Amino acid sequence: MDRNKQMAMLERLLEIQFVAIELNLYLDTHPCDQDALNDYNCAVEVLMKLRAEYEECFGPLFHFGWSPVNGREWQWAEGPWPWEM
Amino acid sequence: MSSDNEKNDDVYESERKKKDQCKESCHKDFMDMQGCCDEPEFCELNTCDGGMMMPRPMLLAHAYVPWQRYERAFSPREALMKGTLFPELWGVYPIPE
Amino acid sequence: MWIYEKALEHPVRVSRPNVKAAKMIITQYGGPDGELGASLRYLNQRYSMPTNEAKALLTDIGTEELAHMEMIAALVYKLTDGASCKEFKEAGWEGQYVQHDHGLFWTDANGVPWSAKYIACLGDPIADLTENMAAEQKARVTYEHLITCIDDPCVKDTLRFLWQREVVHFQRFGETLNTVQEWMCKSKHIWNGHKCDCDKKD
Repeated sequence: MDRNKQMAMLERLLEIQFVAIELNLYLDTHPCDQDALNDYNCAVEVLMKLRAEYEECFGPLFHFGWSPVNGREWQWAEGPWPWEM
Repeated sequence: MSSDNEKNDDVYESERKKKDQCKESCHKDFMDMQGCCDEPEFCELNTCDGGMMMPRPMLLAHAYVPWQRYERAFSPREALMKGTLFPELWGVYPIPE
Repeated sequence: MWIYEKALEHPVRVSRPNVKAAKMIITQYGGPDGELGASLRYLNQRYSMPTNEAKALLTDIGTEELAHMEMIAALVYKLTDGASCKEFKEAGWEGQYVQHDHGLFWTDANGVPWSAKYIACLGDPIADLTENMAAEQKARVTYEHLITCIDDPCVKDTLRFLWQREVVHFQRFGETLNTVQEWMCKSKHIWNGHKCDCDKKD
């Protein structure tokens, strides 16, 4: 799969992840805000789906047991690394 | 791919709710401030000041910020571009060009 | 503990390599108001915060600052990609080349190495949260200076993202200060010349 498709898929993922990060910080200081809680869970649901789709095509996003790898090769070490993309 | 993006944005469209601006009923609206309140006396812990909720009591020689209230959100794409999900936090300082 | 995600928080692009810009931007890597200092300051202050909310916020913002440090590293990497020693000299950054080649290192824009003197932890939550708010303001201003001084629009976009994050962090630390001060009023019975209203609760 080409680099452009990888960047496009990753950017969709980063957008939703950023929503989760922002709501996470907001909830740290507004722990009972129901709207924020709902939106956070919404973001997590979409994010998990996007991460699975991205990893299927381009390998694991996380190490230390947080992402599966296929049984044939150790994709974690493969490039490109984030500062090279 | 683009329809997925729109779908993701729609998810956020449908989740966004508007709350009333802080007015006479600010004490009631305020109960959502930190969210944690079934206790009406918590309302007394904050003051409505021109639409901004400040903590109460405020003591001399102590610093406070107004409480942000989550009412609207940018779309995920716009949020990532701008660096915040919240329109009320965008433009509170002049955007450097 | 920390888990690493193999992606930048926000994409980093440059229009072309520019060693002069890299020399300026490195201040947000290892300078007094940079992301390394921010993340270590917040992650270290967690241990002496009195409320769970403060511990959570410091953990989360401290972690996000590590992600910002990575973005600065990516910017410098791309801005110096393929640059020759001659280009480093023209940019006035030959000291960097001589000592580090294309490697990164934590210094400010004048080559002064990072120091733990840039951060504080007094163990007093009001002092520490106030220091954090000051740090976010200084970082915000530094990004404004960088955005003014650098012409590349792609680089400006990344710096503007980081600039806005400082504004949001300032708000969060302020809200935590609100809560911690309320907590201290209740638990330490601060006298304010009148009967404290929160004495009525519990």
